[in-house]
Amino acid sequence: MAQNYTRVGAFQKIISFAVLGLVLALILIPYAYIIATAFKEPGEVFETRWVPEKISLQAWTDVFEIFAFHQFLFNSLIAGLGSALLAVLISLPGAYIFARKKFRFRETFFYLIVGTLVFPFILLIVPLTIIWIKVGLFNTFLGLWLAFQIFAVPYCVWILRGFFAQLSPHLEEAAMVYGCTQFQAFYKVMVPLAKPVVISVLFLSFLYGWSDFLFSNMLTTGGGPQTASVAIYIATAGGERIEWEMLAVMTLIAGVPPVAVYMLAQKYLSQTFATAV
Amino acid sequence: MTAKFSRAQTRRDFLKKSGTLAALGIATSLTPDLLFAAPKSDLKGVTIDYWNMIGVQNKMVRRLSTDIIKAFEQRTGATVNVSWNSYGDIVGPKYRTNLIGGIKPTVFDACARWTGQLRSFLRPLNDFIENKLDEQTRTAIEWTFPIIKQQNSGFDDADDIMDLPFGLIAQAPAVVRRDHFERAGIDFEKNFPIRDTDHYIQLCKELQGAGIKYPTEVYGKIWDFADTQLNGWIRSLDAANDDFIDATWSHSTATSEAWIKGVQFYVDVFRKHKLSSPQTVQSSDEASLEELIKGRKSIVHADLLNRGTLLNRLPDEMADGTIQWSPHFPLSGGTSGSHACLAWFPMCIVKQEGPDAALKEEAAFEFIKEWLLPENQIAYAQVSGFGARRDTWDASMGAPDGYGEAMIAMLETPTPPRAWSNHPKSVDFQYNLLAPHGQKMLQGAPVETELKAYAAKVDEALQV
Amino acid sequence: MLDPQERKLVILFLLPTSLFMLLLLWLPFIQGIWMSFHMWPFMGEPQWRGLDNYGKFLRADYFWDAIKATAIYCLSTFFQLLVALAAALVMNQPFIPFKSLWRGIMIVSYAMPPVVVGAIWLFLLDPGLGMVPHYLMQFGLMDEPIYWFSDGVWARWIITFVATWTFWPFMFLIILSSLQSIPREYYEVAEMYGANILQRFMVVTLPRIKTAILIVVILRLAFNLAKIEQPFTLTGGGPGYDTSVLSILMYRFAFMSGDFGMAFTVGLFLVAFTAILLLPFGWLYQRSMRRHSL
Repeated sequence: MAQNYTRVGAFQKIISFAVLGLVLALILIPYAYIIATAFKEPGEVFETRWVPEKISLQAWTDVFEIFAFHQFLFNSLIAGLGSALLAVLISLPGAYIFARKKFRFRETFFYLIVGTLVFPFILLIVPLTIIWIKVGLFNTFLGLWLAFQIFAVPYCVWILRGFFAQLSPHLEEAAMVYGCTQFQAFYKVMVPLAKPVVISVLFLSFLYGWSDFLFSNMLTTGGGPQTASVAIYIATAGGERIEWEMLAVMTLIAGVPPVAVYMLAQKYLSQTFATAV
Repeated sequence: MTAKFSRAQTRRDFLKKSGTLAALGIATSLTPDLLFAAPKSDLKGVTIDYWNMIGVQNKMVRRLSTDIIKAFEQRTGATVNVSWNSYGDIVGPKYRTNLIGGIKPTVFDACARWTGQLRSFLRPLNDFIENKLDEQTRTAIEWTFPIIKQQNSGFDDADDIMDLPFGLIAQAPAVVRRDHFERAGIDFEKNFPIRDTDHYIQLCKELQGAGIKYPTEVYGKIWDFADTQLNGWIRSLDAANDDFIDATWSHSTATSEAWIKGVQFYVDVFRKHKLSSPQTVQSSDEASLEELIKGRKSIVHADLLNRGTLLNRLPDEMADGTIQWSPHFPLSGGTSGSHACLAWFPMCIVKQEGPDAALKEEAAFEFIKEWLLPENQIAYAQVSGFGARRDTWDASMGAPDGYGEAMIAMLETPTPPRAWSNHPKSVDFQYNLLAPHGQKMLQGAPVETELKAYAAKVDEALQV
Repeated sequence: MLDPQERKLVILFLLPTSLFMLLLLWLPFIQGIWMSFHMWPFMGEPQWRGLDNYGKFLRADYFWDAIKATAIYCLSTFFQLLVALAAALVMNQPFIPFKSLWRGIMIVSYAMPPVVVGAIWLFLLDPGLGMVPHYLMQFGLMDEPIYWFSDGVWARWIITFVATWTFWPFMFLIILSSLQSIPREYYEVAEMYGANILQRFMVVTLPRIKTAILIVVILRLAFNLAKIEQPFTLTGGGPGYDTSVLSILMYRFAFMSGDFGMAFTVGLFLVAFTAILLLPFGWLYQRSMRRHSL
């Protein structure tokens, strides 16, 4: 890849590094403080110190021993992964059709789906929960996966459609010249091309499933697939006072998998971008 | 009473050596029924679902709860499935939606005034109380029955007891720093407990003179404005109009003279006397207690659930008597004979369906009984609120911080304390509708106008 | 139009999803509109109210407070865009080292469980005990603590700030993906023609990420306005009603007052508010898509 195509001015460099520094500081300063808090004793939580006077692991052990956090993390993982896969399975074909096939009421259908983004979801959870209970989806992973789609599908369909619409209109024709059927043209040509967007969408839906509170709380009960968000809320902030050091520990732990998944995905993601388009 | 009591004490000493909580000095009913005959019953194969909300955040209560459940399972052969929930789940949509949809626990705990909205799902406990409770336990909790009835006065079936308290807090004693008193040259013996609001203001001013900038605090946060000390002051003026609504549940009481005077004083602590911090409009008892721990406040009203924080954070000061609990005190001139409101924690049994319904309900009541065992009540009072059993209160006396004495002083007043009404919209009345007006008053809006506006909203909500 | 094979494909790919969405979202929503004409309790019989709920809401003492809070709160979307765009442009520069590390860090705020982010900022910003006021005072940027949450103006900006802090990585992710798909050669050509950095941005970059920007702005406007956990944890809607954004009011009506009629009335105002805000962006988006379509 040619690196010498632009002369990078010193000014541009300074501005870039300044912006980078500022954005990183905005994130890292609170984050570092949360890390420090996670190792404090309850008595030190409100002392503004970056290195605790006495490093305490109490909160770390309590989180697992008393609050069984690992179980909830595992549930989050399953909820997030399943939700991400299902979102792509459902949205990819739909988005493809919306972008590349012309049929009656196409726009109407599209807006009926995407328009649900502005719905007052908080109010819809009550009828949804009751439906989930009636059909036996309550307190199951499948129930959570399906519920997350209500939120994920509209934006996944939309983002993916945007991508497909921008591809050359002659791709399928070309594929069919080489003997592909309609369906093969889709999964042999279009799907591989969509890889970067699919990865973005996978990641976003994973993150949504991983960290959702509203559905995970309403649609589950004890012993069921309750996710880490629910556990954190109940264990630290669901009653009288907030247990800050435990809140810090649980927040840190719950934040690691999404970042790790992103770090893994992004390498792949930028590679795909470099070659695909 | 003394005899009964010492027996429980002996057993506690015995248990200290064996239970998981021995390290904390807490006895539970984990061990065989050697010394105290707990009622036997065989519930092998019965499973009950218990939705636990009270104390789930508190490590020690959580441990105690686990032990009580284990003991219950061992004793009866029943199985308990526990779901942990948050306050938001009962205040918010979760409990109601689940119950309407048919997801029903067998038994759950709650804050009393929040169960009215679920009343149609609950099973009356009168027959159980009559037939399945031993004489001693019934006598010990009998005092709650008239208050429960009063709480539910607007329901047609107010005589049915549907929520039976196992723990309670009286809102709200004041945590006092004795060392601050001494620093300000105040004779502690002569000035503790705090007598009334004049005395309170005078003490705070002296403390302020000694360098404590904001020695006390009134709270503006949505959950604390009318949930801590305010209502006790109103109650001390008028024990009939101090709840949010009248006894027949037909109108708001907030325009009554007692309310206007009580709220005016509350606002004055901040705006006129300047004894409460600039944070007041959004302050809470938890944050103010933190300030007290840091030595920046001297008198902080806080519910008893905060005692765990104090034990954790100021172990020495709690042991040597530097920290003292003062009972809440009446508004000067208040002669109603009561100045406390109860926020108690009941257990409720949800009506069950199906062939094993009766058995499950019975098991649920056995479970409640487990919580009402004297040793469990005492253990609970050591880690969180107060036990509901009157005959266990003495066990909380004599602690260096005097929390037991403070609680009992608030509970055993000439006029008994009240528990806030159990109207299905109590959350609306106590927090949602009131707090915005409360905050405006703390920002300087006239008290009478704001209370009128609040009362109008409550009256409208009561119409439908 | 469609040949039979295509038609089959359309039905197979589209019908299940559409039915799922229609049944689960449109039906309850349309029922919600019906509910807004009633006094509709959680349990018990609804009573017909006609347009009373709407009248009550328009006349309520908190109506303008709520509109104002919502208007300021939705500015968060544009702050998110600013941060995300700046960060994405920087991260697309070839001379920045350790890019993948920075990118990982940049999504940290978005990876935290949203339900506790409000509490964390409450902790960091607490005027008496928090880290932020402590340092602001230490560095002389502030003489005495600002009681953010007790002051309506501050409180509104704080909830807007926290929403920005939490959600900008969502935009960053998508804008960066879009930026990375611009072939390097385009910039070379632009440079050959003597375009300066601003011109390169306007001519090469912006047209190619415009669709992505419109998508994220529309998505985040809709998402942000529906969020309640963070502002509710931070301020509880107060002081007074100063930070009672429409979604908070809606939540309070539904679950604290148990009045679904009023809740949906407020909810429909929220939908209308969101829709009006989205219109110009939707129009721009449609226009930019039309250029791409067949």
